[in-house]
Amino acid sequence: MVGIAIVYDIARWEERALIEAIRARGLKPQIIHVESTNFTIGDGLDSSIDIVLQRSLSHSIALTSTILLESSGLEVVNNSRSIAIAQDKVWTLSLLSRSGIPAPKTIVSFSEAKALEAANMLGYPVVIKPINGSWGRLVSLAPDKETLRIILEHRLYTRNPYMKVHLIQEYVRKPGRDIRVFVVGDEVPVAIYRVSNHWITNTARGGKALPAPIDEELRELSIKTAKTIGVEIAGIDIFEDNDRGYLVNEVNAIPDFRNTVPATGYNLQDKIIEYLISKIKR
Amino acid sequence: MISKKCPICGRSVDLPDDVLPGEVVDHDCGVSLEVILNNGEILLKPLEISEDWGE
Repeated sequence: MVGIAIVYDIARWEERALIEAIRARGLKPQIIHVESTNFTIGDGLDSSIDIVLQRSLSHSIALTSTILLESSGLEVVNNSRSIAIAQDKVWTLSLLSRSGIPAPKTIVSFSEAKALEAANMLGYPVVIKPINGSWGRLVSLAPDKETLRIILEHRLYTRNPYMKVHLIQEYVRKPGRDIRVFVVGDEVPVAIYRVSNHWITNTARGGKALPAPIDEELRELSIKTAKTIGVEIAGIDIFEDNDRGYLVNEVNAIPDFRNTVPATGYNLQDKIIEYLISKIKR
Repeated sequence: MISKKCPICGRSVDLPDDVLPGEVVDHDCGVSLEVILNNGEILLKPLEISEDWGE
């Protein structure tokens, strides 16, 4: 009998579906709810656990609980290093660049003056985003210098030190959608278009999920991206640019998929559990 | 069905028998409550949304 544990903070549709997928295979899921658990550094929780799936919603809890579980020799998917990379847009984009993976042109500035200069270099409109956010939160579009100046001023007076690091990105003119590709191990089982009239297409922000075809180029790009970041299970956000083709925008190490399953009819939760079992048996 | 008291309004909150720790329950009084398991006992606390939530 294989022992699969799921570590999480908030139990959403995805976590329930994953637990049910474990049960559907005749296995007993091990549930590690972080707020209900003490983690002793270097001491395993339960010797019957073979592998742990990280599903925490809070970025800090996801990373810390993964490190704690790894301290006792447990294998956690995704591992702590890849989670830390995926949570940091600068780290992610730097590694993608070094691997020759196409991504939106990005300049990082540590002052208002340099951020305004960066925007001039990229050309308006520009996108300004936090280096560690998610769900499109605090991502802003500056159509001109005055708007960017106002956004930067707001960031200057927030307490969060990460908001003093300005990630300025070219605005990619998407065709009213982007692509969320799911990677599980060496496979790309399913993808969706996230369609929206708004320039932010995240489904968490109202983007509609529709099934997307996976061509060979998209498949190879997604696998290469996942390998570069080190994630085994990922949701990769990809733009379609008229001139340059696919551009990788973000990598999500603990992806939401509650909109993907009904839109595609694909049982992604079972695919993830199948992958974890295959790792144990290797 | 498991019955617990809402920590905000004091009225009863019904939870399914298979409720998971970490599940969020919307109560009639308008509060979202998070299920916590403490040494086998089910507790409810108001849901605190963190600014670092995400994928």
